[in-house]
Amino acid sequence: MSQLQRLEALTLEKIAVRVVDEKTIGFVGSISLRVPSDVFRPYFSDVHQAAVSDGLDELIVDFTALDFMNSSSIRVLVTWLDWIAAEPEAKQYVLHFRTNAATTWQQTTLSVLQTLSQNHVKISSANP
Amino acid sequence: MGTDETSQRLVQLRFKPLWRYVDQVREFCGTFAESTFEDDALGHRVRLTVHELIENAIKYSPQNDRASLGLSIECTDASVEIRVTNTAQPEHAGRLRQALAALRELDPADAYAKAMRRALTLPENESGLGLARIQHEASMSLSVEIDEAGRVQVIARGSLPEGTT
Repeated sequence: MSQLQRLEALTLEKIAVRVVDEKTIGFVGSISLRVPSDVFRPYFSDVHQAAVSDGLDELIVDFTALDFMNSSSIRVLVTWLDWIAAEPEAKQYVLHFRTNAATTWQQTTLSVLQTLSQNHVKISSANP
Repeated sequence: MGTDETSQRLVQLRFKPLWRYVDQVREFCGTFAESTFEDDALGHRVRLTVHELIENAIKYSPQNDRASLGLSIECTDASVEIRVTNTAQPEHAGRLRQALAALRELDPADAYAKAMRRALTLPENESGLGLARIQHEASMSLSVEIDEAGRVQVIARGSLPEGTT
C-alpha cells in the first residue's frame, strides 16, 4: 500500500476528501470554510508528503464533484504549488486537476493557477 | 443605477454578519439569478460575487448586536449590479479603495495571478484573492462608496449576456 493510500479521508460538514487510488484524491461537496488553512493546510501537507514519498510524477486531484471553493481555500492550493516547487527537482510532481466542464470557476481559477507554474499544473476537463 | 428609471431591484436582504449565513445567501442569490435570467453562467457569476463580497464584509464587520450587512441585486436591460453594504473601520475602507484602484490597472487574469503570488506573503488565514477573483471569474467591475457614517458599499457591476431577459 502506498503512503498516499494510508491517508484517512477528511470529512467535514459540507466537504469530503478521500484517496481514490495510489495517485488520485477526490473531492465531493463544497468548501467555504472561514479559515480553511486550519484544516486543509495540514491535510494537503500530508498528501504532499505522501506524494513525494511515493515518488509520484503526477497526483490527480479530482474536482469533478466539487461544487464550490472560496478564495480562502484557493489560497491553500497556491501554497501547495509552492511546496512542490520547493522540492528538489527529482521529487517534484504535477498536480493534475480533473475538472467538471460545467463548473465554471474550476476552469477560470485553475487556468490562472497554472500560469504560476506551468510545469506543475495540468488540467483536464470532463463533461458531467 | 439605483436611481435609474429602467433599473429593477430583484433582491434586497439585510442580515447579521454571521458566517453561518454565507452559504445559504450565496445559493439563494445564484439560484435566483439562474431562474430569473434562465442563464446558468450568470447564476455562477452572481453566486461567486455574492459569496466573496459577503465573506469579506463579514470578516471586516464589527461583531455586535447592531451590526448588519445589506445585499441587493439590481438589473437593467444590459447589466446586473450587486451591492454589499456594511460598517467597517476607516483604515479598512481606505485599503479597500486602494486595492480596487490597483485591480483596475491590470488585465483581470493578470491581476488574479498577481494576487495569488502575493497570497504567499500574507498570514495563512488571509488570501487577498476575493476581489481579483470576482473581477476575473465573474467578469464584474468593482467600485466602492464610503459614506460619512462609515458605511462601506462595494458595488460589482457586470454585463448581462446578449439576449438575456
